[in-house]
Amino acid sequence: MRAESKNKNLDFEINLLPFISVLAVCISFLLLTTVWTQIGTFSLSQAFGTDGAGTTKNPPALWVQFENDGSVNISVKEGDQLNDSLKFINLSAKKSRPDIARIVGFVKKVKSALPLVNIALLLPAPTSSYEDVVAVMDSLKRMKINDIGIAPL
Amino acid sequence: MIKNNSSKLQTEKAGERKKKNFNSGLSLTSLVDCFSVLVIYLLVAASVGGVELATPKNMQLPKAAHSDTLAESAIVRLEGGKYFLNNKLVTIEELPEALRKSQSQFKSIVIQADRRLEFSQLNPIVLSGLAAGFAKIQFAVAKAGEGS
Repeated sequence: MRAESKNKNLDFEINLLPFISVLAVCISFLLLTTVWTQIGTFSLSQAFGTDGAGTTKNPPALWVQFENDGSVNISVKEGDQLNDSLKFINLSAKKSRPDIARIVGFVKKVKSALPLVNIALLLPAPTSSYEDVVAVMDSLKRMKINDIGIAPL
Repeated sequence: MIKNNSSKLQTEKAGERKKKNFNSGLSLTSLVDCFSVLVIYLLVAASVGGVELATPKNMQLPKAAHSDTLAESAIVRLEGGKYFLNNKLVTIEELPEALRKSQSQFKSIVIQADRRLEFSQLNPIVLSGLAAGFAKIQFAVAKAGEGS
């Protein structure tokens, strides 16, 4: 009889305090160790060239040459089927920085005429700012040109 | 009527009793729910965040919207004209050899420099990386929104 009455009064509530303590410790630990600053990277591919000695034809590639005044020359290598207007362009500087909007516009035209273009080689000038080089790389990435290399000075 | 009144009185008394036995303890279930959501959010943020890269206060990284996630790499920092490989000061002459030594540990190098620098100042690092045999050279950038 006593056992029955004990069973009836059994308290089924779980003690939440230790659980809360564990969660509080977890939150403190994670708050301290989580990386909040979002830093990314741009990979440079150095394993391609356009002057191969073999008979295999190189894939089409964009050569982006920076000038000291901020202007940019873009030429398309191995793009034989392109119009002459799309093979080379000189894009003048905008406030002595590369004109990103015009670069994107030109690359868009090249991409629509030659969808296989996936490679770009940047040739910075000694005075080109690091920020401008990265901005041009970013605009090329936006246009789905993923294989970007850089030619050292 | 008398019966009804007596039953009313009984219920009022019961209500009083209920009020007297009111449990004033905090409801911990909602607190546990909040904590659980926080823990899940922080766990997801921790798994997405990747590797931490300490940036000096006076250094501004260039911004880019289409960058990759930072992975474990040898970090070459250019600060005040001095070169640091994994926070250790090295001269530009020592850099290729130091990078060659770290090649067993890292597959790529990350160049960390101020956005206002000229490319001619970064060029020795790129050349050192190539001389050391690193096929993958990366520029550290601050992630920006798609629209910026």
